[in-house]
Amino acid sequence: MIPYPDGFELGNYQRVHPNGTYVLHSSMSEKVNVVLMDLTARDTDGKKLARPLATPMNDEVYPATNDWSLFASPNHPGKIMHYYGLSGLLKNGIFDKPIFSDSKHNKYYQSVGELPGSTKEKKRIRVTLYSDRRTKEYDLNMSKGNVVSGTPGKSGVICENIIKDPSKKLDPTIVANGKARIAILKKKINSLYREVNLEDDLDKTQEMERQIDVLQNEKDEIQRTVIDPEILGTISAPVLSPNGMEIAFNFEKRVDGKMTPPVQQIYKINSDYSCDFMEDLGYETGKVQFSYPQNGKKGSLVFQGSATIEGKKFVNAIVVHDRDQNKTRMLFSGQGSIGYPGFTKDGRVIFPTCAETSEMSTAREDDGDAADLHADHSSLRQAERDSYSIDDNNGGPINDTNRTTKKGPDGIAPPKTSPAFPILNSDGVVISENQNESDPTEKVKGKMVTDRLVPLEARSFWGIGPFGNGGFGGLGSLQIQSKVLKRNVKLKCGAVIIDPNQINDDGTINETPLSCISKSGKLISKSGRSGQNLKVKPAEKAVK
Amino acid sequence: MILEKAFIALIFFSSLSWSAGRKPDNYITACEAQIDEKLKELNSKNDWTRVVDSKPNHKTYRSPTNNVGEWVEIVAGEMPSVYQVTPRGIREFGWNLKTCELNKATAFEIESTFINISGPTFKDSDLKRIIEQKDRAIIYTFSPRMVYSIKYMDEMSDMAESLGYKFIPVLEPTYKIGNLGRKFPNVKNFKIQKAASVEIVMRQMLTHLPSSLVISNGHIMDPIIIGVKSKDEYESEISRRSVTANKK
Repeated sequence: MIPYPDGFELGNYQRVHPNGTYVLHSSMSEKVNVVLMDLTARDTDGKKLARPLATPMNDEVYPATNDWSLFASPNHPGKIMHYYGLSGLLKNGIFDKPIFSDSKHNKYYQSVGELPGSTKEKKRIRVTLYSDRRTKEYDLNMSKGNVVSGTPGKSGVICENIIKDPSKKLDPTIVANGKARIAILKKKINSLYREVNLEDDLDKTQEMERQIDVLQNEKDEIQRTVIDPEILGTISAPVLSPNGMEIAFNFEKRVDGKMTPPVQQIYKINSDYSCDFMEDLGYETGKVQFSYPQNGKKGSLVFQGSATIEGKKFVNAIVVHDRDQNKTRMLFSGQGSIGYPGFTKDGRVIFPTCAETSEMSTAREDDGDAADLHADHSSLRQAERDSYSIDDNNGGPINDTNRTTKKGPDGIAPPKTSPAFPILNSDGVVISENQNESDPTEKVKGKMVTDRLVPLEARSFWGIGPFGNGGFGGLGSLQIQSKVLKRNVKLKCGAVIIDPNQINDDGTINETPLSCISKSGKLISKSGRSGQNLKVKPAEKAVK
Repeated sequence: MILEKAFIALIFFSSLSWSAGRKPDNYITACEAQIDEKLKELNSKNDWTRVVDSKPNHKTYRSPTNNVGEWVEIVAGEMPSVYQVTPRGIREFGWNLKTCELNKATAFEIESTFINISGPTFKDSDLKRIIEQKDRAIIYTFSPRMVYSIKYMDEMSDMAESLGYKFIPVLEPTYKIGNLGRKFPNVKNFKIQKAASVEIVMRQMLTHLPSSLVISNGHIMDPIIIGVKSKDEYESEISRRSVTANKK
């Protein structure tokens, strides 16, 4: 785990740099909407501490090329999509200017793929918007690895063939009349609704409610019989594959006029923008991320799973689906906030989380329990949820040798962490600071949470060793949980890096070094031997 | 060994017939009558939706029951389990596969940051009241951690109300409510409560933020509406769900 600065308000939306050196965070919680989190930065003591760099980007930014030389940043004033370059952002920080912009192709939930055939001089990207699957391609001119210009090209609507049934093409006049009638009905409903809210007389209110019901029924019937007959289904959370040739989304099929629960599906995008069905995961997921293309392989998807029961808890989960082996496994599960996961090019998974760790009495803070968590390998029953954890606090193998120094990307050392969350420009200068304006009963990360009965959850995270062998088999939960309820909880936020290939079929891992968060939230390191199978007993045993 | 392989094959082939929204026929290869009986006792609607599998070699399905705020979940596989999830806690049931006798009936309180919340909360009892009063309402889950869910809250509220639906925003439970109004002035226009509801969790309204749950004519209208939508799309989505309500 790579800790974030104290006070950092975790956003759930993030994107992962192809070599794991950065994550891109979007959140409304901070004064700067989008920050680049440098995962290779260190504090003045030389310990890893992610460093936020401010950007001028907006809302949910999406990397537009697979080397992160370009970002698509939506919804700037004037409803414009701006395209920024990484090198410019690192150099100019929040003062950077877009390389090019497009006011005609802008909407929330955009997704971008870099089409095959890129050269050192040219790239082509495909940008798909959510609302109506409008898609546009851009030719990028490159120089020394940087995008210098972008020119719009082909555009259209993708996957229309799976959303609308061409055999049930509607008469435009009938549809127009239906829509006009709906508009009239909506006005009447709205007017009545406002009156209901002002009316005190119960009888009159009930009569108006009855009238609204009648109008609603007529409107819904027009929707069903006039507008919808050609609709086969609707989609949500669409995401393009890194090569822009596939798209994944939750698809809600319309059957007998009724919408069925969404299921995650993958489609191939043809050159005419029609789509061919590829796979159905069978259940709904959070927004997926595709792994990077590999020769002859489909690769994997990673996503947030649904809240599910685990033991006696509801947990959120990070799930990987191997498309080649058709196997799905839970990489991580836990309570509290977990952000979007993403793949690096070498197959690691990075995601942000605020783990809840127990705050025991000061006397017990350093009582060695954290080490005990790793000591007992024998007493686990297979029926129990095995938990395995390694923390990456002291030196995970992030593959960027230029950046594992005390200095920032521009050679300037970041300031020492303060309880507030500083947002830095590329010169390391603080430009925004969160003043920790917290609820008096709930403090931000690193502070005590009081007057609230919350579950004790001792947990640590595991990082990775070099990308290597290892099976892709059974399912192993990575959490350590306790049955004990405690009042005081510490939250520790950071980025977690996991390599799915390091998990054996039986759920064990073969990698070291490891460390974990003690019950007090303190990071404690512990080295292991390479090749040793490490098991961690559940915390409820460890804390007894 | 042969039996084990046959069992896995059965699970595999039976899983092919399971799809979201359908009753998972042949979901259990043993003690089916006993499990069905238990599901009936728990008032299951048998309106099954598959979710991410919570155990290896098992498939997980969930269904609402006839009681608001109570769900059942089947973890189907070698050791099938049935869970009853209510605001009061979770009960797990298991069977001896040789005798089909109930050999596990464990009840425990829910330990969850999703359910056990202090402060102003939106509970299953609040949802039940809306349903019983036959109000038209949209429950909207949001969090400042997901940009669009808070940025477009006003717009989504206007759209809901223009269709005669009461708009009820519900905050993701792990976010602190304290200074929300100071950071986001638009939030001051709404009564903010944290989600503390089994229905909200089981319907995956915290997996996607925002999510909208449509309530119409005394019914919860499945499925939830995921994400921010344009005016036309949101209205159509609400209408499609209301159509089903009117037909019930």
